[in-house]
Amino acid sequence: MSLVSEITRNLVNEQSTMQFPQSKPWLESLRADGIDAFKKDGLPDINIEKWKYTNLNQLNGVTGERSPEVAVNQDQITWLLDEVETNKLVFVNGYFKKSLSKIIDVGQGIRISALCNELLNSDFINNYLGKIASTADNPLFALNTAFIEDGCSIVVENCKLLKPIEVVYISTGSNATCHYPRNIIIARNNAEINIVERHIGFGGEVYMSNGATEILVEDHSKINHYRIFEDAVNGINLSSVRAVVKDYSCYNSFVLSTGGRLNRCEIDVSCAGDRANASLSGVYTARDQQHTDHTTRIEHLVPNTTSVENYRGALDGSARGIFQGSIFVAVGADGTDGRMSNKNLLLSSQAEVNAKPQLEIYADDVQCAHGCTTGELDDEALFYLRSRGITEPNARAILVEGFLNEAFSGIEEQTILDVFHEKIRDWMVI
Amino acid sequence: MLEINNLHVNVGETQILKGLNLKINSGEVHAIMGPNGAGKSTLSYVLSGRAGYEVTEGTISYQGKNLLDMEPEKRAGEGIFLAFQYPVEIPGVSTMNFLKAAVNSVRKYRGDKEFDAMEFLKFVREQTKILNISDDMLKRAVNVGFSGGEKKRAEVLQMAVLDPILAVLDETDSGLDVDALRIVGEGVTALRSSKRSMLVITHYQRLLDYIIPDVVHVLSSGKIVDTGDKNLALELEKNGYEIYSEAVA
Amino acid sequence: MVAVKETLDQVQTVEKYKYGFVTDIEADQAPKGLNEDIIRFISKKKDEPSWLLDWRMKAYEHWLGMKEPDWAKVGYPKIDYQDAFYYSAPKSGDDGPESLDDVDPEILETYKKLGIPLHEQEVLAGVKNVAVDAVFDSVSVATTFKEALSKEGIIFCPISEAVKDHPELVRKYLGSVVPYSDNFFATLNSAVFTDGSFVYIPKGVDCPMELSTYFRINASNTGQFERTLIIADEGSKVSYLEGCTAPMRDENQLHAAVVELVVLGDADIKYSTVQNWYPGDENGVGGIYNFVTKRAACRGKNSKVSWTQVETGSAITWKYPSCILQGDNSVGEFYSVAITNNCQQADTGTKMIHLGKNTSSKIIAKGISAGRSQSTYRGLVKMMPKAEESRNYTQCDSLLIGKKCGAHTVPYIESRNQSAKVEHEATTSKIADDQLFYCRQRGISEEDAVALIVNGFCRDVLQELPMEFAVEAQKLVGISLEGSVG
Repeated sequence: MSLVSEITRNLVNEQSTMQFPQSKPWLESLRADGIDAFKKDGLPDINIEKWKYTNLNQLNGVTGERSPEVAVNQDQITWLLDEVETNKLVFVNGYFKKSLSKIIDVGQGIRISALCNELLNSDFINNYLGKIASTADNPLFALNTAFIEDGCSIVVENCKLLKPIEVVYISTGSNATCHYPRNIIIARNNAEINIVERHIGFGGEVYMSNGATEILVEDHSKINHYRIFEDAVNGINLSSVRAVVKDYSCYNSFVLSTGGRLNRCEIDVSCAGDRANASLSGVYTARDQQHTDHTTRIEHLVPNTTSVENYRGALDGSARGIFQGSIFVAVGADGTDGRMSNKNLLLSSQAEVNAKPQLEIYADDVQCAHGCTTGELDDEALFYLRSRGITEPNARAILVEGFLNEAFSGIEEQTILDVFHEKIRDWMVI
Repeated sequence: MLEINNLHVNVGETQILKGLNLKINSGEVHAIMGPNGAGKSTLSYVLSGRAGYEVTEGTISYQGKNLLDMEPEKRAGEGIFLAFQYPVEIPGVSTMNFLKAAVNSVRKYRGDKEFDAMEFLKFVREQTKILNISDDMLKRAVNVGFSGGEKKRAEVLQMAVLDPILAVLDETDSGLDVDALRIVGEGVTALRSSKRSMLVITHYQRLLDYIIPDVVHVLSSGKIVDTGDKNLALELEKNGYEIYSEAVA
Repeated sequence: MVAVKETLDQVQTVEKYKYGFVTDIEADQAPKGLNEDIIRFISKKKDEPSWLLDWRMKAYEHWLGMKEPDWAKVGYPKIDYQDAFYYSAPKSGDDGPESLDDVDPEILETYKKLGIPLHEQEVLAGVKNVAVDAVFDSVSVATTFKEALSKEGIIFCPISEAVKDHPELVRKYLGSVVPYSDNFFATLNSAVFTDGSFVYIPKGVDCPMELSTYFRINASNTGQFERTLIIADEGSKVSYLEGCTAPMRDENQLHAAVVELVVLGDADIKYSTVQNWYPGDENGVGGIYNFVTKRAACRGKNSKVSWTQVETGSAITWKYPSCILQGDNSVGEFYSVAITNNCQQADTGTKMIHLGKNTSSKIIAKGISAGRSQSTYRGLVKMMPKAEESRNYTQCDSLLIGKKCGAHTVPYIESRNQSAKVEHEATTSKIADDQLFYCRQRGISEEDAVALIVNGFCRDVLQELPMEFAVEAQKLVGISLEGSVG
């Protein structure tokens, strides 16, 4: 039996023995749908086109066991936005930690809570959970659905919540176990949400975090979704975001991934309403034996929707970086404007990058384009800096940093932009 | 201060400079004029140490040191500054950060204390006022989206903050309208001093209306073929370079 | 403007698929179906040495264990490989024609209708000579200018003849670029290939004329499996053209060819294709399944290969002319125009595998989709660890005409060398309304305006074609899009 199918079997077994604290008929049937969908093909192997460049043999060591609840002290957490007042949520191994969290915005139109509470106390979330995105075509999303238990639940209506919501996901790494944060974020009717996620890991042990997020933005609303992945050295982070953007609404995603031994960050966005707009920005950096994979798909399903995508990568050591981006334009989706750009730098002779920027277009009145480059730093720019007296290593660092920072030029909030720039610089100086 | 002897330079298989001699004393402003393809830009790149320009023969001595042994950043530290004909665009790197990195690198090389952020801001602001450079321009990425005039003003700003001993200006007038030319010309002239030499490379005489040279050289087919005072530039403007190409032929 | 006027005239005068006629000749056919006996039959017909039969058998055995590929963005009913003829030859004695006088006059008439000169004296004065190898169903029926070429030491003959006359060359290079186990269709071809062209250009020889092969599928229910092998020895140079047509028939016919190019040091091969197999009717009935493997190996320093293709025909096109850039400084180019209309499907592109130092490749692909057709560019650019300072530039543009078609771009970019540089750009759009209006305001009909604009869109590729082909290709662009507007 192959490693991948062995882990698949262990995951399925583990799920069947789970005693979830929240049990309701609709929830049970959602989990059952999840495990059925996952069982169908199991963990994908490299013969599945979307997984061509990421071999899940790298899950080697993962037991399939659900991670335990672990206590974490306040002083083990550093906040990204400690200078501004924010709503704070902390999850450890996928479980909400009330004592470490602080929700300051409550009331009219704002409902920020832990999913476990929503599942226990009301059927409100039943209207959305598992209904925004289907488990089809994404075994990891299905796997997460099979283990739904806790995560973030954020619903904002008719309210611009400008104070960011800061969410920290901590993996403690014990016995190569798995956890499944499940998030749901909804902005509707002139709403705005700014959410800053940070994924960190403690220790040197293997763990697998398989997060899934459903997002709905509708009726003149906007979500800015900032995510930073800084998993521990042996951490495996496989995450899926599925967002649906409706009339006059906008989903902006900013992702920075620097950590973990394996990071797969998948984003699917459907522009499904008039004037819907999606913007995906990302930076991936990796060194040593790290493997980082960013796979995105933007669907334009109705006329007059737009998307912009800009991903940059820098690979050092023996690292491998993968970018797969796809723009899909459905029949009749005239007036689509879709742009995708992916640029990569190889910083060492052993590093590797694989890119697949894809267009799939079934409507004629469209403007779609993609560009992709891989290579070294520009010699001319390097000489320009050196001719100004900057030493070669410094000149290189400045250029790499500038190259990566470009991807985040769309971040309007200065404090958050500073955080992203700082994280990139942190990566550079290690 | 600068002495070039019998300089031969190849780019790839092609010989561009074929025995160039040039001597510049402290505080002097020299102009090098010549037709397209004479080797003017090659000279500027050889002085600043760009890769791909192979010196096959000859020497360059700068303040008694062998310039050709030095890396580009070392030359900058030693006080050589090149104002590029086509300043390079560097997306993602703000002009302010770039300037700070450059100034502090050079200060460190020269044994001066590096500026902290506040000191640097103050230092740059003094210079930007003179050159009519807005704070907004400093926030933008290096040369990205700059107009022709803005690029050249930014070059002069860099020259001002890096305080060079030898400034090489490569076709600094190209792509400038009359007003921009005046601002740049006056900016450069303000930086003239007895401790600073300049080598002004240009195709046209018009820049020399603002930066009056002490010596004018004519570069043709890889060699200095004539030398005179500022009047030589005016003659060239009238008669063109044809007589030199005949002389060489 | 004269050239534009000429193109317009030509577009107007040429009818839709003018090559759709059937030649009525007696054919010598092997029984339907595929098995070891059929392969022995083909091999015996060709009087082949045992090593070649063994090779075919190995391929067949391998093929039995292979799965038909399903990754391409094309759909078609399952092919019954037992329901086709694998050998069909015009009846003219077992040994094949000695000279043109021996060729069935009906066949000569066919090539005349296709506009391909088989009588050397028919070549127009003032036009550069083109040597032609004409392949009719499974066999080569005529090769022109053989003598003139042999004076230079150039070998240009049917591959079945080369097996007999130049076994050392064939044995050395056959399958050396596309091994028999390569892929489902190439493996099938290795087992059952019938004929094709063989070219050898000796060291230092610059081939004095264009070489060309015209492929014609005539018999019904027949698969065509030709195999072309071109070897350019050190410092040599050749330009090779390939043209393809087939009768209009309402069943689908399989064309699974293999082309292997061997380019040694400092040699240069330019390979141009105008593929105009019968595309099926406007409802998607009939048409050729064009499943072709083409690959070039640049084996020496400074070797160069350039693929240019204009793909307008076939119900389904599945082909990826590729370059293996092994020698240092070697150069690979791929220029492609793929036009699909009605129910056609095309999945085509290239692979550029950079192995050597300082190798460079360029890909210019233009896809035009009209009607209910689907057109996909699929390409791989791979920089291997030793491809220091190598370069690739790729530009792929798609143009959509109408609301029911699709255009897709699937590039794979894999880089394992720090100093290698890959640049890829792609766009998709429709013909701009203002361009169309501008032409029409100047009195050009909408259909002609589309042909004109599309020709402009393809210019970068069409100008790579040899003169003789360029005009033909321009016409084809217009014809292929007939009925796509309004």
